[in-house]
Amino acid sequence: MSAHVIRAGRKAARWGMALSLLVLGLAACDLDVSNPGPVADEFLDNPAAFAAIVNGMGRELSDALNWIGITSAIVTRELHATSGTPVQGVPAEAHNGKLSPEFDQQWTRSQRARWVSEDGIRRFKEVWGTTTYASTREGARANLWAGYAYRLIGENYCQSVIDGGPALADTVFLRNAEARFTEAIDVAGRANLSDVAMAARAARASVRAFLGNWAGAAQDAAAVPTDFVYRMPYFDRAVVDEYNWIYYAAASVPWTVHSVWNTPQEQYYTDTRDPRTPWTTVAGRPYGDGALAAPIGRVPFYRERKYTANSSPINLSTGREMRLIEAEAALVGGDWQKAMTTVNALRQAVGVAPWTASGAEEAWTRLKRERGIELWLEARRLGDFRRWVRDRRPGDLHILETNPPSGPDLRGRDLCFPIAQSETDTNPHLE
Amino acid sequence: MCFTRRFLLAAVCVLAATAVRDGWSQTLTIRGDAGRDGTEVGGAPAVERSAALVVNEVPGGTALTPLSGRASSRPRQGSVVGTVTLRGLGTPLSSAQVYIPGTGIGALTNASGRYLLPSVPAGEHTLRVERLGYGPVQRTVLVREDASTVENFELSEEALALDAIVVTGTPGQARRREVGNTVAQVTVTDVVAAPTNIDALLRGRVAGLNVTGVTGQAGTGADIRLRGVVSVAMSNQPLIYIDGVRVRGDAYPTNNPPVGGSAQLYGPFNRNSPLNDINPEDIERVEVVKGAAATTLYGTEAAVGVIQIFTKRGRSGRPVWDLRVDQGISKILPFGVRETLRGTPVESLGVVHQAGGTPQYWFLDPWLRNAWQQSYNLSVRGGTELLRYYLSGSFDDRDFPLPSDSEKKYSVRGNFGIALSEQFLLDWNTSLNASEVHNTSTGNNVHGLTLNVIRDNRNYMNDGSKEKLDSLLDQELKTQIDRLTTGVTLSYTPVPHFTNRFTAGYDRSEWEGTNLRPYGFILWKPGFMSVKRFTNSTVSLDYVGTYELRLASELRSSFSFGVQSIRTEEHDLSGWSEEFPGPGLPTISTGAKTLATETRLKVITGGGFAQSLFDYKNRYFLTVGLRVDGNSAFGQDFGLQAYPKASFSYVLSDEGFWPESWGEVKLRAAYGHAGRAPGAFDAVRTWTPDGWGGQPAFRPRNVGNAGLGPERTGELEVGFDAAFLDNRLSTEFTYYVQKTTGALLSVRQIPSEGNWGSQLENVGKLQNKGVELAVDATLIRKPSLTWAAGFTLSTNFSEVLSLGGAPSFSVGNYGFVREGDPVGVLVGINIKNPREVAEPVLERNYAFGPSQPTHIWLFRTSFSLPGGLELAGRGEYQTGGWVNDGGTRFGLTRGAPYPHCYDAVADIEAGRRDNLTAQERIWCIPQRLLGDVFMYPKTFFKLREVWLRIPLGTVVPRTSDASVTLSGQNVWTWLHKDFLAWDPEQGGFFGAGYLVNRLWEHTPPPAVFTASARVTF
Repeated sequence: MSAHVIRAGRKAARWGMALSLLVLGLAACDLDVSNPGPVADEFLDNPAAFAAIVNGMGRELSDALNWIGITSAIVTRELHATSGTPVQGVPAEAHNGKLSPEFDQQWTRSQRARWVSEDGIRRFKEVWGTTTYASTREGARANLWAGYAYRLIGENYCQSVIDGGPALADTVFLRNAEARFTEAIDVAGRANLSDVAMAARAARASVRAFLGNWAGAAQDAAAVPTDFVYRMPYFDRAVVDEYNWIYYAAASVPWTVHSVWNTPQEQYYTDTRDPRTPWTTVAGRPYGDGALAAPIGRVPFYRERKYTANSSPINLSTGREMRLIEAEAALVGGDWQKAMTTVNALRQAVGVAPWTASGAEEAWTRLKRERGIELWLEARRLGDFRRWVRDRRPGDLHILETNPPSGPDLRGRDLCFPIAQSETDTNPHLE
Repeated sequence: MCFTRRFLLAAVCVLAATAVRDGWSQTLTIRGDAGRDGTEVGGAPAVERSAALVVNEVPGGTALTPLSGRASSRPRQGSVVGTVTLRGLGTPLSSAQVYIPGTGIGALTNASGRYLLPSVPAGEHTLRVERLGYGPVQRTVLVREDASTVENFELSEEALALDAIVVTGTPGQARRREVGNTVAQVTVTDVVAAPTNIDALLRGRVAGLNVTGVTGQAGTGADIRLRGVVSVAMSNQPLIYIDGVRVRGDAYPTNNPPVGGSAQLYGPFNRNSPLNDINPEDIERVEVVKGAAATTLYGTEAAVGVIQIFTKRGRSGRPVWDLRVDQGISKILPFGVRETLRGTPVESLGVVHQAGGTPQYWFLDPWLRNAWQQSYNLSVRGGTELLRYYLSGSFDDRDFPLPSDSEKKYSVRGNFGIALSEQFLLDWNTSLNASEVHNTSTGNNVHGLTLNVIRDNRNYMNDGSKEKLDSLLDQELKTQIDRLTTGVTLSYTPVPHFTNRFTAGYDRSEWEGTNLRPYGFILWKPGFMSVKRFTNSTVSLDYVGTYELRLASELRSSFSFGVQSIRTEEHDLSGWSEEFPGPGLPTISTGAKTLATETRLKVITGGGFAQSLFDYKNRYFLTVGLRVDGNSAFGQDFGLQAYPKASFSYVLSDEGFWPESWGEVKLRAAYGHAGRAPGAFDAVRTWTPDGWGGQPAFRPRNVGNAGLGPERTGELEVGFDAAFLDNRLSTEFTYYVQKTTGALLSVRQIPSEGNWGSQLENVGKLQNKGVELAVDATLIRKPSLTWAAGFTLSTNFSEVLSLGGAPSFSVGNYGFVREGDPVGVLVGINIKNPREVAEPVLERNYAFGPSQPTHIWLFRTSFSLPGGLELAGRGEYQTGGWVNDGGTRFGLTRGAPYPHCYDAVADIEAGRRDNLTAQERIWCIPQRLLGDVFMYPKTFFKLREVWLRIPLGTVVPRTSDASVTLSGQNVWTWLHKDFLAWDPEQGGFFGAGYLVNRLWEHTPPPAVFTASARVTF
């Protein structure tokens, strides 16, 4: 290689290195990138973030309640689907009393609601220490949300899963709910959050009732005044996710995916004008969005009016439910007259005629119907169906609730959501 | 934005005014000369005179005035004239560049093949003639003072063009013979029919390139896939470079409201493509590099391929003006329900669409129109030895078949090449584009015109009357895009054989979508409005040095090295407002409820490379290289990755034993790696700061994976290029196999662990393989008639080799990633006895096939006819792909009166359910209807283009060349019998941007019929 080539090569190398360094220098000025927006997990260990973490728990639960609420309303015939299109949590199969593992949103959102609550409680305890945590408002509220999340799962799923583990019976979730409500009562008591403590007590009563602990249920219920109400709030902001979807799904903007037509409340409200089960026709909107299979075809659109706005809250616990728990406890104890008295007191309070019953079986029929009216569209009916079948309670459901005909034990109908396919596909503990 | 638009309009006007003035003077000069001696372009003496004349425009005529006092002092000059023709046939070749290297003197041939070089200094010169596709010729000529030297040239077709320069995939320029991988090139000067955008320009022209996901809407963009699907989780849109400057390639956002839930679905359901901001008339050529074997030096993001766009440059010589005017119509061709499905509608059963319309247009006929489209392009190029320039301006005004769809587009470009010294060359290329697009609301949009028309009274108004449906047009969907792309390239040659190229580029786009439902809108009475402003900027810095040295007498080496940095920033700011107090033009502040959202994202990619090319005997070429790249997604350590490459090229036909009569053959092989980086937040566990009832809240966002890295694609490519029979038969063959390891897969997390959704993990192993074969032949080559024809076959077979233990998962639209299946395989229910009058026999979990086609055939033919007429056509046949039809499914689940069920509904109503076929029992009973039964084979043929060019030569006064072209694009479609509705190339939910597409209530790309006039002066 000639000296000229070597010289030229050296010069080239110098120039190349200089220019490379220049470009690298320009590029290296800002290699460290911090993008705003998402927050790293460790930042949430700051106690200043805890209130927002608790709000996140509430939002996740409200979301889960929306999805399970609307689908369970269809499967229990609290509402009637108007279309075969599975939108807004109203799948056509549910109309026929079927719940599919493909109903993923209900599973994933309820699981998220449970998980974020537990994760938040774990974080609070780690950061604060258990002593400080035990008297915090955030701790009380977190336990309440966690308890409601467990109750939502336990009442609506026969089996469920915790953190990727094996399938567990609904009772596991209801007992977890009971434990969370108990802790909520304790922490709220120390944090002077009386509404949270009362809600937790009322919720614990409902869970104990489901578990068959009628003495404990009645004891908790008795501590809750009839006019007590604790609700899941919804918000009419510009974010649809914060809406009450049972209302929104039939609010004609633009969906009308469910109707009160051909449900127990259709005729009942026409006959009684019970303010707990209102519905109305809508001018210019004779039918729902689509159609179902013949012979139903197009479904007349009767809009429910229990919820009248995107911001309508959904009851989580009420004193009136406590009275029904007391009535059911009386029925379980064989005192059907006391049960009827309790039920009719509730009816009288809202201005509708009392039920009559001539014996225990009829009283059970009345109680079942009354719970359907009182807790309408609150995501409770599916759990009621299941425990009544489980406990072989006498009495009938409304004929439309057993339609298609399935007998008193509701054979052929799904009484709980199955574990979602997405969990089965990913969880190694499930087949 | 408004300012930009006005500026562009002004710039176009100025350019036009300049053109008129300058062109007037040019043509006056020539005309005056031509009038004197009767020559077509002007004889040498006349032209020489013109150089010494100034033109005075005077009332009633033109005066030619000698430049007094200068004639005696002007240098001694002559001129060169002649023709350039095709060897053996004598066919004139237009657009050939004739120039004297190093002098700035040059010209293009006109339609008659004639050229003229005036004012050439007397003496001996080297005259060179070049035209893409033909071998260059150069010759020494002696120019005499005050005389015209005639030099005619014959060029030979050069099928392989082994000495042509390509840029893509190499650190600098390289000769084709040196490149070990295939480089596809689209030369825009050969594209006669006016492409409306880049997507249309590329569609059906390049082996292994598939353009899909388009709609018939104004401004719609498309997906471009090179050699199928390379990445499951990340974008498969190739990287785009314009004149060496990295620009945005992924589609802009959708013009949809920023709010959650269903309101997100109220947009136009299409996406604009940044590619389509570029004016196709400004493009000289496009180079497409298709796989990791060739894209290694582009690094971490290049596994999906690279498209390099080169715009026109100035050429030494007098200003040459080019004016092109296109006028045409666009028209939707039938895309509705296939005739085989149409039963007899029974009005009494409510299955007749109230507004009219026919099934073949999905009942949209009353709203579809033959839409007028016009386009004006004006450019000038010229220059001297020191400064070359290309300036252009264009204005497009296009309506589209849907009633509210229109697009106005303005663009200006200035490309300058400046010789700062013998060592320094500077290129500065800048374009400014602005467009305004109005759309009709389409797609699976509850407020959409198409959805509500198609579903008739099962729509969201319970009303299928035309009057009610017309009221849906009250909504406004407007998109404005402003785009600036500028780049400076400094080339420095400090010593012989050592070149340095430094490019700094800046690409900025501002996209603004306005989405308005005015107060009183039929489906949202209080009204709402969203405004989304998205800005994207990309700053690219690129240094490449190349040192060439001769190692031995026949061994040459070219060593290249360089560093690059790409910095991309995105900013999305959206506002939402609803419940207006009353009529009027609202702003975001007008509504009772408002919401704002913002996202910002910055990503930096950077790295360096070294490559060495060894050239032995000018026919053996070995290239080895290595790139090291990092990405800011991996945090402070930058996640540096090394990507090696090696390629070999062997020009067999240059061997001594190879008779020249056998033609040319080049063998090639290449192997290389490239990558694809995950997103900015994918590696870390994050929460979304959100709200709940106005209070702050945190919600899970991303579960995070600290071990995340880029996926790597390694590709082996072997093939050959050959030309035989005096270049009358050429062929190009490539076999490729790509393996992506550590493929980024969105692995579903266990929902009960917090439902964080999916997390990217480097667990997959994917494979793509196929062949690309192109054959072109000149079947007839006579002076009066040339007939050429050819075809290209590309195959692509993908397979998921491993999921690394992760469960199979859905990628949406019934596409799945499952081991052993193609990437994005369509899985659903196969009705095994569709036409039997029986209960359906269903085969669940049935793998239909990939979403991407496995075979693409491109056919082309052209005729050169007497009188210079040219007639050509191109077609494309695709097969092997599958798609799910969501539009039909969701209509039928609502009992919409679709022709699929005309007869079935009548049978059901009459109690004759037993008469239903198995298919009808699934389709026509809404509660039985399952989404995954609507699988169609995407097997089709489309006549992409036919055109006829009529050369006018200088028939048009005061021009040097003119032609008229009549063309039709997408003018005919054949579909597989089982493709039951819509169009196989239709866009997905939001148009483009899907791994697996699905058919919705869109309209397909329209047929476009255009008459174009082009004049050069």
